[in-house]
Amino acid sequence: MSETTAPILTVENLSIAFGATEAVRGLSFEVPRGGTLAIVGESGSGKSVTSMAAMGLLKFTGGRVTSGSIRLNGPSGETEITGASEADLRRIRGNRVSMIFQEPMTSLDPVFTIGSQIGEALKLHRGLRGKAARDEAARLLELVRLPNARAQLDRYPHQLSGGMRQRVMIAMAVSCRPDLLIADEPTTALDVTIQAQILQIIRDMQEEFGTSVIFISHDMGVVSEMADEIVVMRHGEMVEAGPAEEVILRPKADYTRALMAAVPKIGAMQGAEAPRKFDLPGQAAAEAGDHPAPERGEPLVRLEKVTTRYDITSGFFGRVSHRVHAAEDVSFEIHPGETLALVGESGSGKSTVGKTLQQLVAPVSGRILYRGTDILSLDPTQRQRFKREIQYIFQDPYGSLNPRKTVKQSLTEPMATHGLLKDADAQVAELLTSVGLRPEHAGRYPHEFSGGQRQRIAIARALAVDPGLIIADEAVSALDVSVQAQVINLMMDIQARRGLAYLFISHDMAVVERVSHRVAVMYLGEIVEMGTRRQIFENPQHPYTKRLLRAVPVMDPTRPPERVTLTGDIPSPVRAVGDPRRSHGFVEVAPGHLLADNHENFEQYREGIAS
Amino acid sequence: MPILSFVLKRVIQAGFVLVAVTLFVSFAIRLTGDPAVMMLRESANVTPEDLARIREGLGLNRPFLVQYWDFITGLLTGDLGASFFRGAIGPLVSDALGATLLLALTSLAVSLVISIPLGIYAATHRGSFGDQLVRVLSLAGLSFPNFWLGIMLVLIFSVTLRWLPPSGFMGPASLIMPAVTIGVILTSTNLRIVRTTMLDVLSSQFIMVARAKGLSQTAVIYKHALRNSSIALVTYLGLQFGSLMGGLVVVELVFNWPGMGTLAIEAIAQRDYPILQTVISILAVMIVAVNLLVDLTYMLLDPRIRLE
Repeated sequence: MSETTAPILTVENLSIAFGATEAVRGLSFEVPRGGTLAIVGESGSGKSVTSMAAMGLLKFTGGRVTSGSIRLNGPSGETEITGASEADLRRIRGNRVSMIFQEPMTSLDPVFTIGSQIGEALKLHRGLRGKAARDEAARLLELVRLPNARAQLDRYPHQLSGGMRQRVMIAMAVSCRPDLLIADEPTTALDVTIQAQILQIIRDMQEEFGTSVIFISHDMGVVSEMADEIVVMRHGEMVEAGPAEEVILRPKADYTRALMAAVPKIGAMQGAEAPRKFDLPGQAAAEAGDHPAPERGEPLVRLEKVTTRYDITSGFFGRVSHRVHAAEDVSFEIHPGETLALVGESGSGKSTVGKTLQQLVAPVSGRILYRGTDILSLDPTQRQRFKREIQYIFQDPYGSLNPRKTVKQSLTEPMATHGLLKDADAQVAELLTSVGLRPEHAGRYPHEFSGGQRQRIAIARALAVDPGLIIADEAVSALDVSVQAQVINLMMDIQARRGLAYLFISHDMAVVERVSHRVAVMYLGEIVEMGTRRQIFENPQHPYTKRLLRAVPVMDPTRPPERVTLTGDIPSPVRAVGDPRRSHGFVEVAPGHLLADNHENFEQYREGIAS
Repeated sequence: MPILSFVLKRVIQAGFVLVAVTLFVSFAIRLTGDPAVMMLRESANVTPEDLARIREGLGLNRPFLVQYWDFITGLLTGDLGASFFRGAIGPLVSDALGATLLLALTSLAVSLVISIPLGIYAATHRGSFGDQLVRVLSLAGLSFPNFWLGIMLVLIFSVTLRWLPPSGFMGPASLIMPAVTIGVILTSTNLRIVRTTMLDVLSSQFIMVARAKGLSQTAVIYKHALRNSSIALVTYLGLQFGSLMGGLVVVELVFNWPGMGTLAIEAIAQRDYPILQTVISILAVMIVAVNLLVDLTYMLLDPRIRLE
């Protein structure tokens, strides 16, 4: 094979172990020169471990290559990574092969400036120092479209948002024009509009430097936009590999097919009136009309102009100088048996609305009516009763269950608190059965369960007090797609059985499209558009809703990715005290479809806030 | 927060702490007994007039707040006044302070020189034989009560081997045993702190990023990891200073070291209010000042605090 067509990286029969546990077994693939190979898989599939091995960084994670080879085929000849000395590896790392990590918030050293951290690589591999290094760093930051690049050099990581930090990481990674760039879930922690920008920048860098890319992700939409070739991994082994189009559109392996079925695809629900469960192998096929919108009588919950703010103090006397305007004049209704989705990006205030409704934080103004009763006007003992009616499921199934309590203890505690405990064993058994677990699980501790099972326990705990409304705050975001689909199906089954209402808080538009009857889109603490699922997804009116929908990666490899020109961050909801309050009204564009009346001058509005 | 406002806030807080400490000390010591009675304990035929005369001579018959005010103004103007029994306080305290600081700083320096490299070694070779050894040794060091260790050192090196002077302050050789006694405790705790904070920092993502850039192990450890773990270490050292001063009192007593601890114990025995008030106040000022210094160092080390 000639120098120019040989694959940039050849992995042959690679096996990796951590102690006695094998993490990767007999893995082989090639990264095409100038192209993008995506490694797809759920947690524990060995995809990140493989990338660490390609960087020669495995030993710092406690793992080791037990057999096989990883060959880097650069312009300066072939290098075997697995047998290379640490000194050789240091010359390769950051220079010929570089890496972007998942967590932009923790990827940069908090005590050094951005400029000095980029400068490190420039000095090490390109011998640039002083002004030359600084100029080059500024040029790189411009390349990744960081606004005001030169000024950013003297700033520290904590002064930058997640999206900006990830740009810095990319600038650092491409600073020495690597032959191979490894991107390990580079956008997973980012908002969807920021994700679109970052993916665009990675494509631009690839074009600019001719870099080959290994793109590791669990998100099929993102993979579909980025990949030329796909390797699907599961439990440390390769399940399927091939050109992206083949693998996505005509998957051969059963696992790949199951994985694709579990991926929520935006637009898949077009024309459907009601939410629908995922068609999962081994489950009865979902039928349209399973989950019709409920009769619209008396609402279960009604929020009237609820405003919640957090104080920020500063100065010598700790005066309140700024406030986080987390929720501003939020009004909506939820009917029994209905799912209202609250969507938005970080800082949109969607979680604050949930917490206010659950009475975890007190609103500054507004009314919350539960079956017509104003909860906030009640005295604390009466209010306690309403805490039972509204239950919460949190995002992190690992943090929300007490590790020192058995499942039974976790489930009976809320029942005892509200005086609902009659026959503990029977009640716990029934709850566990209703979430698809077995009664004998009651005596176990949380660490004995997987993430998906823990989230089922969290749902059982919420159901324990027989609530009317469950607030699911990013309740499926931390789960692998196949588990996510199962948990969503479970939640929809429970809703159909019990006539339960959900406030489904999520950033994931594709999931929201699947589960919700109605959708409210939040931006900077305000609802900008609200309507039925079809109104929002099929006929979005507000510029922000449109932008949000456009930014969602679509799992369609035949469609060339749309060029993203948007830059910049989501503005901050922090405002100075005395800053005139910006509020807007609504116009009803169709029955039940409310649109913020600032939609025409939204850009000015947005900039007014950002400035 | 701007640095000036931060410092000002801390200085004002420190002022309140000092007023509270000195008030409490001055008040509490007056509850413990009457110095006039102590002075005349050995004498026969003591009349109430004798006691009254002595009280008047010492100024003890004046109201408490007046006595406190005199003490505070004296302290602020640098006039430490006279003790009841031992003449001017100024030279007494300055000698004792010098001796205490010499001992404290020597043991602190020794402990840092040992604990930082060893702690880093243990953290970077986690689970190795060296790491285990370091952990066992530091646990052993923590397990000795310091007075016991001091007495053992005296028995071995002074009584049996006759290498070192058993007590008092007679040249550099006298410093060795008390410094080792305190140093062992400090080293043991600091070693653990360095090891844990280093382990914590080394597992951070930014360390992996630094390695992925191709930086050498030395650059990763001494530039990125040490700088980040020093933030926790400095905080800990500030907290440690208070207990270091407390520990010094005991060790000074064991070795008859002429420091602030010995001075304070003697003053308590004699009900010598002025000396005791002064010693405690100076220790309090030092502890408050060290913690202020720690906060400032913190700002220097961590931009997240400096720029918030």
